[in-house]
Amino acid sequence: MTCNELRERIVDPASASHGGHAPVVVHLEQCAACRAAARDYGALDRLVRTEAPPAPPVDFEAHLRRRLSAARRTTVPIAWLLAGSVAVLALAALAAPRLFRARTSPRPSAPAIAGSLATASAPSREALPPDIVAVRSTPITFQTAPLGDEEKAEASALHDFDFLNSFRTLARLDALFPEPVGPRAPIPVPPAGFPSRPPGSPDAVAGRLLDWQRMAQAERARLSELEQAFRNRPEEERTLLEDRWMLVRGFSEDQRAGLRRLASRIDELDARARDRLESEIRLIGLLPTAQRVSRWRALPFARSLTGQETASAESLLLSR
Amino acid sequence: MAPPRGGIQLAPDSGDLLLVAAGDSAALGRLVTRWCQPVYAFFERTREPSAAAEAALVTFERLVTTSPRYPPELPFPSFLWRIASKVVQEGNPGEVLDIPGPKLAESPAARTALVRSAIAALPAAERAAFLLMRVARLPAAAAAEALGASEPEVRRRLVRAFDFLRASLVPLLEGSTDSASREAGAEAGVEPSDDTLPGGAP
Repeated sequence: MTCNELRERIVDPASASHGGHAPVVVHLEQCAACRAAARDYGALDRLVRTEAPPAPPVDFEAHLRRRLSAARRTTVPIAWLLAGSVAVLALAALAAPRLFRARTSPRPSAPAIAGSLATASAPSREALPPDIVAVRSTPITFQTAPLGDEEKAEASALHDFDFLNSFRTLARLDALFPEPVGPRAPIPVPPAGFPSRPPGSPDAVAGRLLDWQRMAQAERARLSELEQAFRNRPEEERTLLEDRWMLVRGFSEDQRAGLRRLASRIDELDARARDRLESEIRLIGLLPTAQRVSRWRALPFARSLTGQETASAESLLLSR
Repeated sequence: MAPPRGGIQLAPDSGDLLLVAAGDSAALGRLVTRWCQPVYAFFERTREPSAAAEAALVTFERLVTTSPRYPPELPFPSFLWRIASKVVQEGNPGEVLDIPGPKLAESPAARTALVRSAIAALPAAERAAFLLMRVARLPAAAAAEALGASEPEVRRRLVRAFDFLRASLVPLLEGSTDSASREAGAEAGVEPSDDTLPGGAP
């Protein structure tokens, strides 16, 4: 064993047992330089160790989150920046006074970390993110006229906006939902009510009013019409649709778009083909979950669908 | 609970990093809770606390930004220490502080500063190997994986690091090695004979 080999063995305790101790002991007995090195290595090891494990700053995580948030703000894709610029320019004329006011009170920059970790004021994890990333891509709120009592009442009485945008599609997808076998039993309402119902808590109402205030007049009118159309349906059907919504409310925008397209594809079938498809899908719905997708893909109708339509249908079949 | 499809059971850290890649804030909190201290300690041996915190922040920042590229088959510690090793190697070697002996004798802070400066003065590759194996206490295989080097190479770097520190920290080693012999041998898995003690057998 050479001096180098011995030193590589003694700096790594795990390797010391490889090849046995005898050669190490023999070498140490014969080599004063390695004995001195062994002594010093041990002393160095103790010097490097600390009595108590060093503790990171208490606000470490808050600093990390703040920096990650700042990094995200600076890496907004160019396309979003361009789109945002256009929107801001278009609205600037309307909102110039407010914008100038805002510039007089700039947001404080994050403090430098060096030497100030312990004293820097750290936002809580729940702190609201900056406006620019607050609500999807359209968070910038410009001064809009305050809502009157009548408008507030109207906005608060509306069902969930996503539900209103989806209930007509849900009504066209009977085949993909469990068939109500007659005589129909009443659909049980969840203890907390259907999530599609109008907002109930003060926080939810406040959020709804903010959304409403931010919304264009035409969009408000469209949602009010949808609400009216929904309320005009029989109560039993309304409950059924709200029950269906519970299955798809977690779907992504893409999946919901797939459902809309799927409903259109089903509408294109003649009555006989539609009846046959509904029967086949209902049979698939009775299969164990693991078998549903393969059976669904074997249907001639499914083979004619786009990937988006197929994926949405499969998500729904598996959610039942 | 049934195991995930494919029979792969991800370790909590690996699973949390995949969740971080998907934007899960709570998963990031769990990872920080579990790994903040060892990562901070890793850097704290080479620099003063605020700079160590900064380096640890950079490490976690890179952990998050590279999380979409995390291969689940790689152990999480390897992924994390690989990042930390790169961060610790980025700094140029500094100068070993020249602190008078009396000051070292009376001031623990001065001794700490000298040790830090000596480790920071190591060449980058030796510094990373030393910190991974002697501060983070990684086995040679894990350190080698983090450094992208072979195990023998990592051990050679570690020996070079120890030899450099022996030369840099002479003032601290003098008088501190009287009781070191047995411990050094024990640490290395060796029971030294009496004549390995300083000055030979009593």
